[in-house]
Amino acid sequence: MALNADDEDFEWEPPSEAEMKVIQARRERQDKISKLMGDYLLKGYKMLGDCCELCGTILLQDKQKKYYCVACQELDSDVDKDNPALNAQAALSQVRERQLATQPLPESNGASSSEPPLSITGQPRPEHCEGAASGLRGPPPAIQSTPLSVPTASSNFLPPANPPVQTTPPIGPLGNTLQHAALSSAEEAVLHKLRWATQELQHSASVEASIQLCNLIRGCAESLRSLKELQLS
Amino acid sequence: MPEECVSLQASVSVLGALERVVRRCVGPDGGSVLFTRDTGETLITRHGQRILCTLHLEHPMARMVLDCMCAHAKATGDGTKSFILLLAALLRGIQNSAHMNRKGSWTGSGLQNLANRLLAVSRKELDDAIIHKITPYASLYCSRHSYKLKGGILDLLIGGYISGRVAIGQADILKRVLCEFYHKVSQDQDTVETISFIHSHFSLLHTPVTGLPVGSSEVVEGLVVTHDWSVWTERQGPLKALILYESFGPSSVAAGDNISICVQQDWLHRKESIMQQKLESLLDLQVHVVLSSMKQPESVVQWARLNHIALLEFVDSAQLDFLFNISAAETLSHPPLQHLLMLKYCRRVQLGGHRYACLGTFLRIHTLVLCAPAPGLLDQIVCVSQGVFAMMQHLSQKYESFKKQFQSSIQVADQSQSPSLDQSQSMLSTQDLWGGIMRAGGVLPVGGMFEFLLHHFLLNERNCGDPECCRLLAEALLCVPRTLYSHNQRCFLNIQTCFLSHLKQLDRAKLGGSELPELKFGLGFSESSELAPCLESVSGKHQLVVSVLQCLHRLLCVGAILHTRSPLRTGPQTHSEEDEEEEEGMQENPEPLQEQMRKPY
Repeated sequence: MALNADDEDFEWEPPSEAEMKVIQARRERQDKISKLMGDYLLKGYKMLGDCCELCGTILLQDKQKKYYCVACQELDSDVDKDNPALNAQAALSQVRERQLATQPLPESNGASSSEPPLSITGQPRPEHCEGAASGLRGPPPAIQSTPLSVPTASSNFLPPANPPVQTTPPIGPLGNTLQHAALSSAEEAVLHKLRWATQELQHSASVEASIQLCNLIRGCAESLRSLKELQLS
Repeated sequence: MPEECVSLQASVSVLGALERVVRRCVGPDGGSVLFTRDTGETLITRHGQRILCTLHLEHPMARMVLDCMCAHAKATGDGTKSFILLLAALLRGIQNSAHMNRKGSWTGSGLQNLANRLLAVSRKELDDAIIHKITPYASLYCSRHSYKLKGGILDLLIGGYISGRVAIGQADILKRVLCEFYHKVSQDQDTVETISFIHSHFSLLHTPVTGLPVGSSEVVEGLVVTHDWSVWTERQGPLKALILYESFGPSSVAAGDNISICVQQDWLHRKESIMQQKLESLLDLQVHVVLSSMKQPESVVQWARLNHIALLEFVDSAQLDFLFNISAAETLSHPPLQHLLMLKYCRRVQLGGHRYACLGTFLRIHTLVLCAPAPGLLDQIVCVSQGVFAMMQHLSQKYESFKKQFQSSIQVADQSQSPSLDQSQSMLSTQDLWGGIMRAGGVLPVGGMFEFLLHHFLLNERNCGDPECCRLLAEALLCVPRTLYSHNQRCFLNIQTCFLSHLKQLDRAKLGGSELPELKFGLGFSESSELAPCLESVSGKHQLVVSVLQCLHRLLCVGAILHTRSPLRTGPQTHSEEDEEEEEGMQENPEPLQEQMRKPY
């Protein structure tokens, strides 16, 4: 006797790997929420009978009678994680999927297998996507050559994204042009190094060199990110 | 993914939070929770019921779960934390089965159907597994290791109950004191009656004392009253005592007495003379001790002093009733209500900075004095002691049905084993209740053995009517030993593997008729084998699983939660005004509830 006697069972397929990952992620999120809620209950918060309108988690109330939703205020949102305009990882995974869909399966470089995205797309790390995305939010930095395809790809993302996200105004650091000049020149230098490193990586044959180049690329990306943060602040 | 049923989602969230609260207090390695108040008072406890009732929970499902848990704890004295763990694991299992096996998620009617089927499993397959598989295994196990258990089943049972609930140092002391108390009260009397007597009168037979270390707990002969004597005279030998429920005050004038009153002075004089007459009649009765539940007027106190009569006031009327019931007391004819009884002796005892009165009866009543440094710890020790006797009461009550069922199952096992006639005969004698329970398979070693066994038998049940529900239950059962061994995950897996392989060996040997393999005692839960093994009751565990499935049924049949404006009633025993109706409906916009304070803390 099946668990459910509905007719839907005749068309049931096992969940795909992507769905499994989503299920797993939801389960972990649920566990985290439970843990936080349990800790707050022990701190003296009251568990109410209401649910949060945004995420459906049970609301807590502290001693000052303020409502508190554990999921909204402490965990990253479940939905925003998948929004490419807000999350670099999501953007990169969408880019990768697009590339896979349009191109034939790429040959795997045994040497530089440490960074599959780079071997497939020849594109830099996700921080650049973040740079691209934040570039659409803040004042445009001087991103020139290699991530050329990224802005075009990311501009395809924007229409499906929520309109409110587009209209969230950047915290415009429009003043302080001196800082801008210094930051943009620093950015240029880092990008230049990044481009060079990428090209070297494509042609490198030894493992150690590849690893070192990858580290250099990572370092450049991180500096870019901090530069971006400086710009936006 | 489509939206999940509201009741399942809400249940999982609520139970997940409650589970997180209690899971670190489970088992001998568990910790305690420290609650503090703004006034600076603290409460340190690891008693599951106390912890959960202290939290502020207004969600109706949480309160319903708490009610179920308290009802279960009252019946068996056992398993409040395991209740929550098992319930949470079942709900998660149901949620996961939706994701893994079904395209969509559970609908309301699908959940109700599942709940009904789980309840049916609890009646049929669970009973079968316990009566026909676990009980014979337990009796075989205990008979193999009877040389180890000869010391005292009672000691091991009490040890098993306590060791998971209080710290190790306190556990030894408490075990010793409780065993001593039990032996002194039983005094060659019928075991079942003794247990039932202690359980029903536990509140009168124990005295909590704060400010002393736990090691000062003792058993005192006589009934301890938590007040000192108002008038004390040292007297030897049997004493006649008078029990009063009212004071000899102005209202002591009985109806029917005719008094003619001229002036107020005359009235006062008359009143005094009436009182003197009554007191003299008491002297005629040769009363040496007066026990009163009310405060007596000063003149009575003076009279007692002058006539060397011991007077004890503010005695709890429940204690007075108890004394009346256990002694051969006679009731005096004239109102107000007075009883006369014989006491063996009266004395004063000093407990923790207070002087208390101690009354000795001919029935050799003993009082359990429980000491602890702090009120929270004392409360925990009292709860644990009360729980021990509740557990024993439950076990001895189930023993009657065990007797019948074991007799039927021993015929089933007849083919593979050769029964010994004297075993079954000696089992029937009520004198040896504990031996009988052990031989009937009523106890198992602690540490998750019951859960492993039930998991194995549910999964391998050949003619199971509902394999999916059995699987759900079997998977959820493992959450208890997993939490017990959570400090060492490998330990849990090792134990599980060893135990299951050992079970397979046993099955093969039984089928083949060959010599049964050596049964290792316990699950290796304690690292050193010199520690005494502890036992737990199978019927208690069975009741736990049934209670959890019934609570689950209630949770899953909730269709909608409607919020109302009427005030909440305090206390965990009452249901709130928010009725959970079993109809599908949209969830209304929740309106603000009127706030009311729950229990303190």
